[in-house]
Amino acid sequence: MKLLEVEDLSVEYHLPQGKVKAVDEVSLTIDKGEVVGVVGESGSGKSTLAHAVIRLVRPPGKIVGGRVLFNGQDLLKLNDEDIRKIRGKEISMIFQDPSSYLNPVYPVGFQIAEVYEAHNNTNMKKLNGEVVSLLKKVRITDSEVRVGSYPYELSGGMKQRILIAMAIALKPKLLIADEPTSALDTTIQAEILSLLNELKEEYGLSILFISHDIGVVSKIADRMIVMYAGKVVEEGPVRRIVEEPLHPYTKALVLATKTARKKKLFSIPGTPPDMFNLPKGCTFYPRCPYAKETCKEWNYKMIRDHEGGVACAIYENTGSS
Amino acid sequence: MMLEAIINRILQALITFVGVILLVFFLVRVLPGDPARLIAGFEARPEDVQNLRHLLGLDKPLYLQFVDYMFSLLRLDLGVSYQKGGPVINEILARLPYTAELAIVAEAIAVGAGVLLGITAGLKPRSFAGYLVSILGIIGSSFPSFLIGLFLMWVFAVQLHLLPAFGAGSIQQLILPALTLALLLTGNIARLVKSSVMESFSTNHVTTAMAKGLPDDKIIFRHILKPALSPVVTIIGIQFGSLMGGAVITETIFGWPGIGRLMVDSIFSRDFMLLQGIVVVFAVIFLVVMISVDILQNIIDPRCKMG
Amino acid sequence: MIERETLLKEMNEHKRTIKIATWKTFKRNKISFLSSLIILGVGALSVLGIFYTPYDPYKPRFSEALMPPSLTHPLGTDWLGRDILSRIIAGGKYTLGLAFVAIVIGATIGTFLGLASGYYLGLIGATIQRITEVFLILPTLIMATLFAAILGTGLLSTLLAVAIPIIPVYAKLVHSATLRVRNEDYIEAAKLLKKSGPYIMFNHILPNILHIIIVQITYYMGTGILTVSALGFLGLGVPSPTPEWGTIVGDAKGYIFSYPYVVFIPGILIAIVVVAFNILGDGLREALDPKLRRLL
Repeated sequence: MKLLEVEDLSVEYHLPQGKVKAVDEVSLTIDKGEVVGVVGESGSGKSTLAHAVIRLVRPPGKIVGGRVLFNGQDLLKLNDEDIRKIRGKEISMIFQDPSSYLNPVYPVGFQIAEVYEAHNNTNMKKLNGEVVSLLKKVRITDSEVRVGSYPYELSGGMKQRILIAMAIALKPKLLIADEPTSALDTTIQAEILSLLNELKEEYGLSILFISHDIGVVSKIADRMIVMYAGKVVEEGPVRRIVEEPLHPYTKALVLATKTARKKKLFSIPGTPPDMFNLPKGCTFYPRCPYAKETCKEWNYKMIRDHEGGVACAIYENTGSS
Repeated sequence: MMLEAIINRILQALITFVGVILLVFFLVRVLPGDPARLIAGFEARPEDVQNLRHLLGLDKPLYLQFVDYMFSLLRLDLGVSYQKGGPVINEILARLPYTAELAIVAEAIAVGAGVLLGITAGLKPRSFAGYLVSILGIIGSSFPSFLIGLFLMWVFAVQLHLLPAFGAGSIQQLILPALTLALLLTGNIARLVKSSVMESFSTNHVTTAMAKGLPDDKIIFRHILKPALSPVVTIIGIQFGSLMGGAVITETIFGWPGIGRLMVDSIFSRDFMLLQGIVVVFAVIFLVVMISVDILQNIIDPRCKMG
Repeated sequence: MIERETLLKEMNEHKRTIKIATWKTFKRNKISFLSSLIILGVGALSVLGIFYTPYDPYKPRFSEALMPPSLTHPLGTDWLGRDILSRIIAGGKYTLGLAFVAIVIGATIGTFLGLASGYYLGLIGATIQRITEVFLILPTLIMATLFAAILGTGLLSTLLAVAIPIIPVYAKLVHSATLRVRNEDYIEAAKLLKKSGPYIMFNHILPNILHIIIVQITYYMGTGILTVSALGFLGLGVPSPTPEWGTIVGDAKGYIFSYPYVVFIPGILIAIVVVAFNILGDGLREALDPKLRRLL
């Protein structure tokens, strides 16, 4: 049994302009100790997917279908109290912009201690020692002093470490990381990534790592999922996705990353999809260099092989579906 | 560092205070009517009136009168009431407790009801609480205070005979005036709390709190309410400070012997020493309240640390 | 030359489109539109009151005192036998008129001060700011009471008593708004063109903050009406027997036990008008705020 099995998860947003299917029947699995990356551009639904796993989708969003099996148990069917017990303890989450995700009027040590408090692990006063050693673990210097600091006194990188500390305090089995490095400088990015790798090894953590940057994901993930307009378009081992991408969108992403490093900018032609009016057939069709007329009528289908899968008409008659 | 900031704030307040005194002093001196003549009476001889003027220091140049006044303020001497004969400060102190009682009770009701309503409305904007807050907000900001006071008096005292209409001293007599004021004030507080809560509710640190598995009550108090506290504290300070100036209209309607009514009386009787004294006292109280609010702000929201 | 003409034409077209969009946004808010109708209605009634009332609002007719509402006296009569409806119609011009003139005067002077202190920073600005703060400490009603005390009762006194406390409010408002606008590029451009201070203030800054001022005037109309009537109620404003609505209530409050009509009707009327102004203010704010307006 896998640690996490997401089956045909769908999330909709009800906005004044209309309904948007941010996540459209997405499935994925994560094994114990495995790191799975989710890659896509803004609006692809990857962040919504991450939030949906622990039912943190807030109105006007709503989970409308599918199952999220954690150790065999469907999280979507749990009552509020039971899901609360899982959050922070079995599955925890870190976010993109640590500044806005920390409460400005409480010291960071207190906010970390809240995780213990939420799951009945003794009262706040006795926790100081634990919190200090936790801070050391996430490589924050002067941890005794920093415990009493307020978020505005800390740098972006340090704040992110605080979020990580909160997330690993109770040694969860799964860590969901929603673009944890996107708001940080490149050097700090690297530090945070190495910290996460370390913690993964030490705690046997599984990680669901969301990012728009395929390069960052490839440094930490074992397997990768590529999302476009709410659907999974490709999945597979990191090595294959980066070296031999199958889906035209994935190819474009990889190309963009490679040329960025060489300082020649390649951008994907066309405009991001209008989520209120998705084209029929393949949603990537308008921007696809390999597009054929038949793509306009193509029904979404994941074509799988032993390592992963791709959702593209080109591969229709290969592999199995 | 905190001490520095407080001292700074007090100094600022002092400057403003002197400004207010200056303003009132000169304004009041412009009052037509010669107080010496008023006290001496119409039959008094001109020399007596002159003597009286001299006695009262009214024949000195204005700026000297002002300096004298400032010095006497330091001695807590607010002068002598022309009309009543006794020291101004005694008149004021006799009435101050009544105003204070009304202010404290009314503000307490307003804060209690306002905060509770505001939180409920903020978490569920389309609920009954939400609409109640809107209505109270409209009442508080648009209805003339005499309408509310007279209406409550009519319903409870005249029609239902449940509560007394006038006077002070008993709890029953306190209820109607306090309720009148509270009705006017609750709306403002509730609206502010509601919008603060709504804003706070969709902030990201609430998502973090949920991701940590914190129970709802802790999320509401620590992560939604506390960051929203700041503007609410300010407005409570302003409301309370104003109330301490005497709710003139409410006191008039219910015959409540507070400072507000005293001020109006002093205007009608041209007792400008008394009027001045009242304004001075009010300014002091208001400034003290505002400084306390600032200090409180520093404690509850560390981002506000001045300096 | 042709280009310049087309450019000007386009600019005027654009202005027209904005005006239409503003009007349409405003109309869309039905409550707001309704409020403006209410205000216009009451205003028209008050203007009518200048010329005609069913009965003489001042003349006592003791034989008809304290009569309940009837066909001849739709709102009844007061303790002096005066027709209440006539008194109210006659009184509208005082309550509403005084408030309006007072707010406009206060706003105008306050705007001048605010523009000056906001544009010319430095000593003038700082001084005006300090003085403004002193005035803002005291609540409006108390300030108005003080000024009423000095100036006595009567129309002009009440007018000034209400107008003067409004000045610092506008000074501060316009000061902040000016500060926000003064660093914009077009101001720099005007300065480079060596335009004078007053020219910049009135032709460049003022038009861009005008919507804030107008919205605030609408909101403060409510305050003005409440202050005028409060002073009247206390006997410090428009004096009896002039039927300013607050004065009417102040005189009538003793009759609350026997005859509540006189007491409540003017008050309710005031409440309706002030509520209408507040709602109108909200609607105007939506319609005039360039960010909230939706160009159709």
